[in-house]
Amino acid sequence: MAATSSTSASNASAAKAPAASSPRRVALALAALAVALVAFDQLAGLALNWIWDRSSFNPVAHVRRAQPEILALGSSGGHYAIDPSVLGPNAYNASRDGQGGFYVAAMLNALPADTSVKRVIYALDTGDIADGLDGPNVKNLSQYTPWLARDPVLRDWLTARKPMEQYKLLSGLYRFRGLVIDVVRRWIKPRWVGGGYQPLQETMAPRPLPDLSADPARGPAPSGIAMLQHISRAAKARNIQLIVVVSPTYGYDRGSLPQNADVLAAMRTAFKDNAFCDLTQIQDSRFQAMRENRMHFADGSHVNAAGGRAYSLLLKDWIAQQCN
Amino acid sequence: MSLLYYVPGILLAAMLAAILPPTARRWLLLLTSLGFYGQLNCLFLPVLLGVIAVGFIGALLLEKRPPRTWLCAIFVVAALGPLLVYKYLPVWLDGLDHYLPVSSLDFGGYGAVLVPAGLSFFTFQVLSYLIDVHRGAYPADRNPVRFALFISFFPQLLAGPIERYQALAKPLWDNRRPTPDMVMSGLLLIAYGVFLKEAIGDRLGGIVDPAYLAAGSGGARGAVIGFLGFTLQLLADFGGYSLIAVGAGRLFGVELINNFKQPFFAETLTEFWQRWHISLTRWIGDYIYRPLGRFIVRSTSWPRGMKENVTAFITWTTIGIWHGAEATFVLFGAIQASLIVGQKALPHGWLKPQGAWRYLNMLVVFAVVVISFGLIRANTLPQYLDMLWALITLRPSQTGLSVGGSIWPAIAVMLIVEGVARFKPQWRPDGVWTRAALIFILIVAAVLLGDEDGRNFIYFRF
Repeated sequence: MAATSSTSASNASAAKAPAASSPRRVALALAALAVALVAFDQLAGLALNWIWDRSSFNPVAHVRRAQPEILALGSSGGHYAIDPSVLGPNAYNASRDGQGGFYVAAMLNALPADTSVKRVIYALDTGDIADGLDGPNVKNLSQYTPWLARDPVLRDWLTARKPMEQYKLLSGLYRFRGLVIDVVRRWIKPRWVGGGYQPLQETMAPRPLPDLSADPARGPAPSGIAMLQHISRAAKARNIQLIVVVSPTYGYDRGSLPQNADVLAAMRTAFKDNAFCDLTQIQDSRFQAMRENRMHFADGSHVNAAGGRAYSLLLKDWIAQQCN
Repeated sequence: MSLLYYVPGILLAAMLAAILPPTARRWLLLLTSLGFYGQLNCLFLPVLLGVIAVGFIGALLLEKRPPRTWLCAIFVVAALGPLLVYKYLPVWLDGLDHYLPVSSLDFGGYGAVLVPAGLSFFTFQVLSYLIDVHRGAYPADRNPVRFALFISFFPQLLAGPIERYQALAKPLWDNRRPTPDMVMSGLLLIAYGVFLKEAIGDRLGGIVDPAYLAAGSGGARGAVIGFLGFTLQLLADFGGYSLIAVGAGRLFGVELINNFKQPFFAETLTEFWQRWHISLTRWIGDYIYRPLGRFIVRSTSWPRGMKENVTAFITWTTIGIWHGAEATFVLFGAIQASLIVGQKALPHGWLKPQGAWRYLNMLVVFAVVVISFGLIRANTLPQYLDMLWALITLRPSQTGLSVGGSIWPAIAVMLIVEGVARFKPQWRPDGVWTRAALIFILIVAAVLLGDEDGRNFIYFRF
């Protein structure tokens, strides 16, 4: 391969034709190469899919292993705010940084019909509904391509931004692009996190409370509504109660912002036929005190360990009072 | 531009070219090249065709004797026009991008780019052609299709190599069929180029961009990631593109210049520049450095060393400005000039040491290159200086910047290949089946190790 990066060598290799390089031999080699690539692609794809199902990189594997009754799902807001140890021994937080409503829908879709999960706490990000498939989190779904590519609906989400991408998914290997090392490594040496919760430890520097009154109002995107309907269907089919919350942000309550009223109304419409508990507009002075205390936050959008514990204690109370 | 479509496009065009009669083949190549460029932004096509027209008509007028230097200057300025307008006017005229077609390519951490992709590369080809015809090196081409094909040949249109008329136009026009050996070596080069780009260049881009965003707050670690990562990214990205171009050229029966010849194993900075972006440095040597040197020798009575130094300084500053009008690029050129000039003051034994000291020299040159290349990547001079100061003072990082382990095997493969090519150049995979096996491995590696969010080639923006 040295010739591949040397001018003199590359010129020389063109000039010097080894006796073996007859057109027939080259054609045979290229045909064999094509067949080998296709065969390897499909076989290796099968093997990697088998590994994927057992790798701790796969979020579904965590839930399958934990067998929780209460499952928290959402993006980073939910990941850091919901401490499952506060909620009870059968709670698990499978929220993921950089994911969103589409990930929640996919996770619900992946649960078996006889799942142990009875309640899902959906830490809703209003932006997911307003932006739909154009949202910034959607591209992060590609992290779970091996899993999502198996389902026609989820595959459409995966390729919504680039429709030509669906042809890549015909390949067994391509869906593991950029992931293969992590998937295999976490299969050989799994990393199972008890309860799924890994809180942030840092504390936010002092800063004034934000003023969001000038932010524009946003309505739901059609693909955002479709995503909510998918969540609704998946939860209903598995007899799961949906508990919807809006994770705490420093100094204000996203659930009470008038700008988010249309988006939250769309959520309520989508979930009206579900076993559904709406905790997005909680009026609780303890919640206000919690979210105005900077010692609870690692940054403006994410709580730290103390904030996670404080919020989860409140959440446990609200669920007991309003969702039983 | 996704390699997933570009590489199959090359293979399809090469297969069609192999079965078509000569005239149809020429038109196929020209239309494919123009279509390829037009799909980036169809409004760029008039720019390309305009530069081609200036070169074609200009050469016809310039070949008349006696040579008319003023006429040559007019056509050189006319050919340079779009480059000057796109590259340098926006620095002084704010809002110009509202009136010009803008590149549809996204360059990740760099932000929007106004310059049509590859503009300076095809402009340089036209300039060398005009100047050569003016010098009487060869007659002007009277076939506009052949000339347009020479300028727009798609494998090297966007980022070189910068080819000369005599080396490329005739082989392209003569319809040389590739030998079986050229086909296999061409495919191997393409596969290796794709591997470099996908498994190293793109993935390093995702690591390097946050380091420059963090700037000084990334601390010394961020600076190392930014400077070293970008240099390796650049070799993988630009070197990968060049290998794909050379490989694609072979599938059409032509040999293009390989722009990189193990630059990181250079013992002096001068040698580094003889191994890095070779077609540009040769172009600069032929059309700027030597003519300028001759002019300075003839028109000044300075001492010889001073003449050489002034020539080097002007030339290198020009290379810096070629990258862009920003202060970082000007400083980049000035630093290279200073180092190359300063290098001459060192004792000869230091520059060409024997034994193990050679490797120390290589390391020093590599370190100098790594630190100075940060100027090409940094968005502003204060950002670069902040990172450099963080490195010098070993400032602790305030961010979570990290490289991750999975990139290293691919980088190790690249450095091993470079090292073997430098120190064991006689070793190369000749057998058909050996090459097929390597192509197989490289394709699988590129697919699996590639980055999900592909990036455009860095040098398309220049």
